[in-house]
Amino acid sequence: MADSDLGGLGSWANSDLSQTVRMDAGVGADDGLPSEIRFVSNVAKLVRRRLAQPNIGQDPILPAVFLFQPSPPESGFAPHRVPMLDNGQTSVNGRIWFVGAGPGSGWYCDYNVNGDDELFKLVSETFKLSATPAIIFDPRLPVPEARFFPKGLCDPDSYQLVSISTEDVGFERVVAVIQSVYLSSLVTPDAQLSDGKIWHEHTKGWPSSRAEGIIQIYLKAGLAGAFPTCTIRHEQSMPEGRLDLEIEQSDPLDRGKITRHAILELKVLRSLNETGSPVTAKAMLDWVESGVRQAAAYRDSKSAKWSALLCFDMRKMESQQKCFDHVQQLAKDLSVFLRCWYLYATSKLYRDVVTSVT
Amino acid sequence: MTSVAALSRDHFASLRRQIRLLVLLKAAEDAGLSPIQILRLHAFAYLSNVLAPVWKLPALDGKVLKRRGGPFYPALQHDLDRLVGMGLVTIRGLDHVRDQENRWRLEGWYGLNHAFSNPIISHLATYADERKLVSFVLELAYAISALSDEDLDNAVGEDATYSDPMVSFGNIVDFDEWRRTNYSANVARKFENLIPNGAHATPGEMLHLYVRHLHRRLHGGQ
Repeated sequence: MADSDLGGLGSWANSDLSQTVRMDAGVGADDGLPSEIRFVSNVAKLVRRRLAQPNIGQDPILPAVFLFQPSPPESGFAPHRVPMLDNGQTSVNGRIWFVGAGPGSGWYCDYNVNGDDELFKLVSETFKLSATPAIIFDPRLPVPEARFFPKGLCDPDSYQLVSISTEDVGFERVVAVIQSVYLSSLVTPDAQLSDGKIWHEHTKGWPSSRAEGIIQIYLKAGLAGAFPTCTIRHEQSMPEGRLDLEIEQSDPLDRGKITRHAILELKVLRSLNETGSPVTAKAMLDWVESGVRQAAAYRDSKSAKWSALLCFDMRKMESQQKCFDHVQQLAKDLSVFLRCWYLYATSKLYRDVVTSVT
Repeated sequence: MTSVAALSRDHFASLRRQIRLLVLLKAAEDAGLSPIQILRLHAFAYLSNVLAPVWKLPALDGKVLKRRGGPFYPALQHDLDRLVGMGLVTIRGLDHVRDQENRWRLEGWYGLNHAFSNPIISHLATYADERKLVSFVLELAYAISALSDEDLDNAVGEDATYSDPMVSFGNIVDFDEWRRTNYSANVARKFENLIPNGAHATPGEMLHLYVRHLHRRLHGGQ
């Protein structure tokens, strides 16, 4: 190879890249997540950042409507494009916004209507976007609130509250999110998407060799949806090893200041591998113990508030939380939370359990 | 005499460019940049080539003629015109203008004609390689959407590879043809290990940080 500057930066060699990182770290870190989750997360982060600005008191006390529609449709309004929308420098209130899943920019139209009913009509009749997923940020309430309407404003009763504040990401809240992901996407092969199967041959009880990675993807999306103002990072390398998931949150005014809430170490427990050959019980005991130690080491290395070992049990027999019996004291000493979910190889097995009368 | 193999090769290359154009236009639309002005589309195409290694993808075209007005790919433009002719792409505001080198060129704003392009774009999503390309180009579109129209017009002139002072105007900027030096991808990858508290940037984050730094440089920063 003739090039002598393969790793060079050319005319950017003396650039202060770290200043850009301090200003904008985390932007785009949600790549790969479903677009609707990114839309919610990026609007939540934007509103949180706007609320933290010193001049927020000058913003009109009117709702902001964010429509998941990257470009404004033809209408009698003259839309304005705002690049770098995520920097929180632009007032969002009293405007209808047209944004995509990414954080980079948006379009807005100022509105002037009498009351919420006219505002809804403006979206549905003038812009004809009544079925477009929308978020309404309402600063008129004593505690400003954001509501996500996944089916659009045509179904105003179907909404979810979206957190726009600094999150309290405790273990039990995370467990509740994972329980929800477990029931909707993991518990049986039928719950899993066709591209996200965690069983190689579920009728034989053979887990996929990619099971950990696939579970990680499901959990990352679930956590990003539940904690929209946080950033969920996965597969972070460090001298102690490679952590699975971490939940962090940047300061709304200074993205360089980051709070690391949690480190989640994921383990799949197997009694058979992908080819059907057995995995010893001893190997699984060691696997769980190594998970506890990893969770503690990664938490300390990252200065995170807490860490947990989360096991997904794909063995033949359900053991509930007994898989942790041999590490309870170790986990207590190292302050690592423990939780296990059982993954059923068939829907019938799951049905038998949930319909059994004890 | 042109051989059948060469014809086939040219046909395949043209097909690849047409697919790339549809992916670029779809991404521009999803990022709120549609319709997209002709030179901005070529600039977007250039960035999708030079930053492809960040996504572990090869460049569709690893070289480009360095022009004062920014990159322009004649073959890509030819294929874009074909897509307009086939009804897959729409053009509005069609005009002729003189460029910075005092040559006449076409002006216009391009977008997708959904009735005809949607089935093709949907079909692309059935191929893993194309899904990877689509996710990369979309993330790049999100990243460049953070630039104002004026910044978009000037962005490539400040790009780490295109602005290489060793390559003068009228010469070839080569980052993946005969040479393997790609300053832009190197800068983007350098961001990976600069995240506070030892985190590692995702490929998407690297693209955004690259464009954010480009923005800083356009406004006098280093």
